[in-house]
Amino acid sequence: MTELLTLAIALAPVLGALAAWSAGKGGRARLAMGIGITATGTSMAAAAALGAWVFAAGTETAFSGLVTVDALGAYMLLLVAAVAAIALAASPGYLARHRADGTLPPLEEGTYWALLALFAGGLATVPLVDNLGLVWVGIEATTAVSALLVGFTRSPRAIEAAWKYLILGSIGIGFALLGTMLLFAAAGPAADAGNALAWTELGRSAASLDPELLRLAFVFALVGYGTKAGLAPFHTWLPDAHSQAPAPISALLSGAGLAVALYALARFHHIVATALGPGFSGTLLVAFGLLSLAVALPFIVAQGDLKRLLAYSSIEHLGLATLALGFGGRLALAGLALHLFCHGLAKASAFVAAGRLVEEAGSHRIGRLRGSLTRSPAAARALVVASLMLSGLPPSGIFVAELAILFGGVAAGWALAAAVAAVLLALAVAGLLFHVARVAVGPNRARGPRVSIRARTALALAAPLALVAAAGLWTPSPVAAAIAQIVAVLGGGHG
Amino acid sequence: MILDPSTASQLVDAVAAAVVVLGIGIASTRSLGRMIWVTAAQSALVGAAALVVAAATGAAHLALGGVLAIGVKGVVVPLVLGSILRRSSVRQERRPVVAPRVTFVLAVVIVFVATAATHDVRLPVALDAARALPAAISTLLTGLLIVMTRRKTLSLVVGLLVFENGIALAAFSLVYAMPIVVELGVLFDLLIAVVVAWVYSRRMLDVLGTLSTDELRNLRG
Repeated sequence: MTELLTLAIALAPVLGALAAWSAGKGGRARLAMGIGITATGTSMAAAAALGAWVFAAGTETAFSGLVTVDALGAYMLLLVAAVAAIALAASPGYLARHRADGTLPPLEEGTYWALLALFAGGLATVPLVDNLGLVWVGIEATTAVSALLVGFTRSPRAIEAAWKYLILGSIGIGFALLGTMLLFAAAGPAADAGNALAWTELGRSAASLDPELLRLAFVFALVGYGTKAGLAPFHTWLPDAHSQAPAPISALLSGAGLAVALYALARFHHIVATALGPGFSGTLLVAFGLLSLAVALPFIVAQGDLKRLLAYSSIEHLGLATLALGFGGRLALAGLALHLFCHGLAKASAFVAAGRLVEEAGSHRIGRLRGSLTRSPAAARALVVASLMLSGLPPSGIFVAELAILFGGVAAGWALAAAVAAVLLALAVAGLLFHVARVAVGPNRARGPRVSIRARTALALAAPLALVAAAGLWTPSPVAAAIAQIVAVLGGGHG
Repeated sequence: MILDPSTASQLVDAVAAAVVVLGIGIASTRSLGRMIWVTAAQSALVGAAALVVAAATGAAHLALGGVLAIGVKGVVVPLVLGSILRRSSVRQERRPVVAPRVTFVLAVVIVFVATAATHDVRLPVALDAARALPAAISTLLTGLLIVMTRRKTLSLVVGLLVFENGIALAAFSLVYAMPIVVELGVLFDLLIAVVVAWVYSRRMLDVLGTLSTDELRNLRG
């Protein structure tokens, strides 16, 4: 069963991508869309099924240990599937509107569906493999695929953003490869090359690893995967890529792509903390988490571009998640588990809603988007609600998660760091809500008619937000049990 | 075991030294064509280092990795980059951020610093090739230097390749050998990255009419 689901997750996107691409090149856009949605949907449904199965039945292995999915992996599978569903629902509308206004390159719709399938499938494959070398290969492959999606519109700005993303992303991820190799070297020449990079095996034999090399490996992994997760000071590609990409792609990049990079870092952290105690890697994570919160703040407060505002908010939230990972302890890690999922859903909805507003107004500038609530009520409402949640105001899962992370930090002995983070978060709330309020209200300068959206789009925007709100009010017992399992994986061996 | 270990370490040391010298050469030329082909030679040397280690240790999959590295990075990638170069009118890095004379000096400084910094590090490896680690770190930093000081998109891709050669040298000669699936995946990913860079270089030519990243200054803040 696990074998079958794994194959569906990894191979359906590859086959679907080939078919969608050739259908698109043959001018059959509708067929390409059908194939793209079917292939991506199959892969994501399999990912969700496998994730749910692991939470119910415990860790699953397949293909003689090459594939291992524990609670943390299952969590990532569910997160990627949920965010990809939002991106998938928003994509037909995005393509239709750009087909209508002539900004879609001809015969490229099949390419869009092919790349989307590969991107989502790649993100879902990373948490499957029990080999940190292959985790690297998967993340690097999604970088290349998503770089093509970032520049999809072929405007000069989009090409610039994609170029920066490709070069900075490749260099960053190169450091992660060096870190992976040093981890391999830390296992010593005696290690069996076949499973020396398996995170299950490394976690078990952590005590026998060379401590010097282990420290060095973690530093390189932090730089490398930190670049991909958008941690300051390696974040400079992120606002460009997230603001220039098509809205559904921004949603997937921000909601799931960053989290998958953090997942790789969490596996490194777990091994290093098991071997050396949480002091070394935990302190580094706390430092870079705080730095990301501090660096994002001025750009949120002084932002003039709606999509860049959301991108900097992602840097802030990933900083908070990194902080939680560094804090450790049951409470902060439970907060982390709640946080990444809720952030993924809320941020993806915010990007899709912002994308609608930007398309209708023909500008990213906040000053030109004013009065959106009268012009395009549904999308503007979704943006406002998503922003309130992203600000951490109740009722939302993010509110509960932020409280848990901050109190967890205090409980784990990081009182000062938690206090600084609380101040930075509060200031960022003011900045984000001020700008979103300007977009929502104010004089509506555009003369066009009120824009209404289809029921399907409204559902795609409302359902994830309702889920995030519910997560702040009520935790059903299966969810609580799942969070406890994730915490056990993340905190195993210490705390 | 075709080679005895001491001959092998001397060979790896010699190859590593040559890789560093070529890296300095790449950092100090203006000609894009020369940059591409010297980088190809450097990549081939890194692959050769893998073959030497393979011969000394009998690790067959390392030999496969070396052959693939020579084929992909020594032949395919330079051909792709050469085809972009032929399509454009640019032949020279005319106005780099820092003059090639200065990058030459910086590259030499990097070699000294990297050698001094890694002098005492001893990795648990099969071969005692003392120059390989400093050479790998120097090459990696030289690649970063090229990326930071050049403006043409092709120079940036070359810088990325030099950076990657540094990592590959570390992988082949120091870490002994990564699992074969990982090696194959790494090479495959590199190929994809270069193809994507190729796609974007073509788009830049079409949309912006230039291969210079000078035009890429719109996204700020």
